[in-house]
Amino acid sequence: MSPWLLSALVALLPMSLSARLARAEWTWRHPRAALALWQAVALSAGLGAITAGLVAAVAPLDAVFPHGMHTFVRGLASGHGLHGLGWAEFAALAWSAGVLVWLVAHTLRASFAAMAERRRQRLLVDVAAEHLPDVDVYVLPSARRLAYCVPGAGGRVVLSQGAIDSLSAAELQAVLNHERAHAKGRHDLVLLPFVALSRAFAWLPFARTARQAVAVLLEMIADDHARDPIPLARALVTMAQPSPAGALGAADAGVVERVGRLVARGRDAVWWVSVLVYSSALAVLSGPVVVLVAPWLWWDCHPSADLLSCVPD
Amino acid sequence: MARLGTLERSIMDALWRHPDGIFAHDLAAKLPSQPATTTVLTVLVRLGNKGMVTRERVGRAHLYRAAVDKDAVVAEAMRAALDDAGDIEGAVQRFVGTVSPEVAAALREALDARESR
Repeated sequence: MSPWLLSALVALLPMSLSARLARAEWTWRHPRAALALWQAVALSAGLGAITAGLVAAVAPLDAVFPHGMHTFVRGLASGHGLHGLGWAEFAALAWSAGVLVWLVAHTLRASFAAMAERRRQRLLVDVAAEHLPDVDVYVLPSARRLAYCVPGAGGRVVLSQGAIDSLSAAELQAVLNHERAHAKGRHDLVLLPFVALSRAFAWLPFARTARQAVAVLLEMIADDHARDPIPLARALVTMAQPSPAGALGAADAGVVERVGRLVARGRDAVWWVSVLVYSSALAVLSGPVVVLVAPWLWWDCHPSADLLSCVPD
Repeated sequence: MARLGTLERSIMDALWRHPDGIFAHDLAAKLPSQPATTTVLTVLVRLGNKGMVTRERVGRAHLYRAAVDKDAVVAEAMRAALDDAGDIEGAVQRFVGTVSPEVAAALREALDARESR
């Protein structure tokens, strides 16, 4: 197996650590760094899956991937099409294209679904909730305890009357800071690729684990915008209790961890852990990125020269 | 943007107060912000496109009615944020989900223990 193919395939390996990463306690202390690591693992897996197919497809043309890629592109450009590719290489190429199209299609689908859902949600909030202009909060007349934000342009922070009635002023402020942090940080955009991933590869445990873990990390990042952690922790416990009006909400995996880190001051980052995690993220990404970028860097003639006139070695 | 939302809300409120239907010019006259009838008509048509308002021709004008009652709108807004489905879509970001009463009690105990320290 060529080192090129190997480095593309190795990019898929970190996915197997996802269950352990999702459980790791250091991620609660370093939610931002952990988020970057999840992003790197997911991106490198996607790039690795696409790149591996490309490398396998052009392998018969040249043992060195960039040269093979150049020969392949030159063949395409001069009208030879996929001539000279065996069925195995053709299948590898189709795999790459398929993965890419599948991912892009699901990302687009998830974006449109979220946009439509938010448009509907904004309309519902606009007609049914009372807007408090001085704090810019929308209040839904319901006894159920609920707080959420509709992200995006023209986003809205929504509280139910039940939530307002059961929280103290400091707790309410903490909840508002939390929701505004979501809106301001565009956490919806951070989450979107993972939603798309969990849709595109619903059978892949990594996709589900990542979707869940990233959501919890985003909550922790938003939690860190509270000035005083204790009112926020109190608000979390109050709001997480099943409402008297009936428990409709889904069980939330992140509540215990979030309260725990707020109460135990488990939010103090250790600098070398952050450095280590960010470096790991870079290392994870470097393999497939190097392979993908190599054909563009590894020219045998001046980069400004015509593509077709460049001859390998 | 914010003003349009306010108008939508006050129009829906007026429609909910008149379940038998109301004409656009009567509706405009009842609104505290005194918008022009054409403005009200524009919003009514938009609300109609979104399935919130129905109309029925009476003589030369249209009689407008709310297509959904307010409780249903509130329920739908709550459901989108409470449902598992809304969570999976990632369309809204809710503050917190729910835990079992036992977990809630344990969390509260941990909090109280910290307070009394």
